[in-house]
Amino acid sequence: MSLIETQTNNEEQNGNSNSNGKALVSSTKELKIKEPSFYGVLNKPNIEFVYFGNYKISPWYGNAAYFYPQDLSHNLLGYEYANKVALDPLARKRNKETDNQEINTNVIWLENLFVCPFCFKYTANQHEGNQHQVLCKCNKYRPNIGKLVYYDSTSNYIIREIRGFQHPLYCQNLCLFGKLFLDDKSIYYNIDHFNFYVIYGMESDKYIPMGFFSKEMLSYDVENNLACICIFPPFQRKKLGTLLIEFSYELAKFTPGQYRSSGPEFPLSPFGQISYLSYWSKKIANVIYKMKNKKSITVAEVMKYTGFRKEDVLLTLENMKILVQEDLDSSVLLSIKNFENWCQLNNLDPSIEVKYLNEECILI
Amino acid sequence: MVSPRKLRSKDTTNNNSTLLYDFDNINEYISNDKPIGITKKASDNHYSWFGIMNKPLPTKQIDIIEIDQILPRRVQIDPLPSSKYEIFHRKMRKDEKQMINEEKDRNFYELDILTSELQTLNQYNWEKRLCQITKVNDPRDTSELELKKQLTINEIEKILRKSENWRKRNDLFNNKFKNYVRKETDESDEDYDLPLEEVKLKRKNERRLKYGPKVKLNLGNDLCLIIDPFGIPKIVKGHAAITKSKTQSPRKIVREMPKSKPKEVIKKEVHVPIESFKQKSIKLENVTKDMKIDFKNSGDEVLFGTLSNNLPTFANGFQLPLNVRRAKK
Repeated sequence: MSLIETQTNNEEQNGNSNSNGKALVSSTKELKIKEPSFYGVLNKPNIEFVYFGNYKISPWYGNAAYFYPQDLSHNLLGYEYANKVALDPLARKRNKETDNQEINTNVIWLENLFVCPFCFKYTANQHEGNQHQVLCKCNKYRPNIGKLVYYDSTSNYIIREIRGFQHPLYCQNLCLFGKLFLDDKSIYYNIDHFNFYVIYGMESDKYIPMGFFSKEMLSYDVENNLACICIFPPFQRKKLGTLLIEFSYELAKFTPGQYRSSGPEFPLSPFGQISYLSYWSKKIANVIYKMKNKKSITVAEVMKYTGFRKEDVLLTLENMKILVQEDLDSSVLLSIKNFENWCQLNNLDPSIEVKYLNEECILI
Repeated sequence: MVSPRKLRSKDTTNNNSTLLYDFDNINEYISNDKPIGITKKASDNHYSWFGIMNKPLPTKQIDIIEIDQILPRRVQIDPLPSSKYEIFHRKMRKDEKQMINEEKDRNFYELDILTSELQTLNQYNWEKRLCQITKVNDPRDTSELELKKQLTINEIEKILRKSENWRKRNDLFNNKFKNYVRKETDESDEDYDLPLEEVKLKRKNERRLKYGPKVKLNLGNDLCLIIDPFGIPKIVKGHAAITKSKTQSPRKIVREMPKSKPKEVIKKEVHVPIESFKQKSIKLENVTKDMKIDFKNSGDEVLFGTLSNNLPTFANGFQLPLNVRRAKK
């Protein structure tokens, strides 16, 4: 048992022991917190629709972190409740007294949430949201927040590095919005030691954020090159996730401690696992193709060529079903025939190295 | 009637799940780089270590409706200034920090336990303790005990090193965080208008300022040790020109070297001075009299294989010792 495993388990336990979690369990009968749960996680979406620029989206997951933990009625967003209490300190006491009558037992806490498509500020009031969009400081032809790290003017994609401690509100709001489409996100506000890499794409003559990944700069495990990744639903199926994954490996080349090998933080979500396995398989297929005339290969050799962790390499080879074993005690072999079948099945030419990033445009 | 009493050695209920380490169950292809043979034959007997990932994907209906947004034309005041979120976000941040600190405390407690385990393993009664934390098949087999002891010590030391590394990074980050002055700018990013090559060069210089430059030490015999802040130290052939010129800096010379001359990376076939390479990981107290440490320190101006005046300095203040610099003057 390593300390890292302990940390992961601790995180789960922490979610359970959180006072916010307890309050919610007691307050809602239909909407129970997941067991074991993470802080902020609900088992059903608690917001019916989210308006994000020109899109009206149904959230995939619930997010309790938009709401004030002690406000059991959930009538107001967290910032509205906090401001109300700050203006009238007696309101908290009055609310406590009436809480028993006002407990919101509905699955849906809020019908519509309006999120600014430039800075992710949120409100429950459409008029306010629209007015803000006009004056939003991030509402520009090309984004200027953070640092430019990728600029492909041909396919019109920009990636910007935004540091948590430099732009806290932007990153907090980004995390809160991302949670609506991520199952197990657990940090939304204390984001000082995270860097966010936001991908912007061209839409309606403007670059707008389409997804992001975060990287913990103070990760206990130096090899973690990605903490969480999310492509917002309207912009999915454009291979942006794979582009960001490839970018995370490029970034690792310039991160001390990640030069040899790196990978995403475990455990991966089911969607994350599918995306990563697909990416790793395509990259490793090219390496195996180059080494297929050798008598043997090692996992370390594949790691050296790809920059993937050894565990990820073995997991991918196993998932591709190209590692075979005559019986349980015999040595493992890599079957070239199985490899060719896999390539045929996945319609992949292993002689060509698949690249999702334009290398000329990387500005790390 | 069967007696409930039984020998502790026969007790199967005491399984190994509570043990910290099990070195019998490590994957040789990951841990020991065991070669995987290549065969042309097809087979359906697939190797399984992690277990095939066939978790069902949660079904998510992508329910997206495109709408036409009608934005107001004239707006004087932003109804959502950053200050509006300040109180709530500050409170939530404080709560999250508290949660993380509790987790940190638990980790520090575990580190303390590991440190004391390490001390016990270095004492006379280590065999008893080893069996309590590491899976041992035969406690009477001294060779197994010795091997498992060493593996356990290595593993604990690895975790302690990791934690030390984290602590150092944490201190550096906290310093950076304290010294950061927030400034909000409304201007467009000038990097968009620069040619990509120029931006790349700018980033390279930023990296050099942040992490320090690549350090090259001439080891003589046409060999050079390159220490890259992002990579593993390498010994490269073909950098003899660095110390031959007295007027130019090593970096300039490297830049001007003909590109057609490929740099040959040497891994194991290093001829001279073998001892000095091995000593990369040797502790000072282990250096013996018969070891050869040859940095080709031939002249007064040459230090560690390069001109002392040309040794690059780090942005955050790495310099030669004061007495060396004074002596040069």
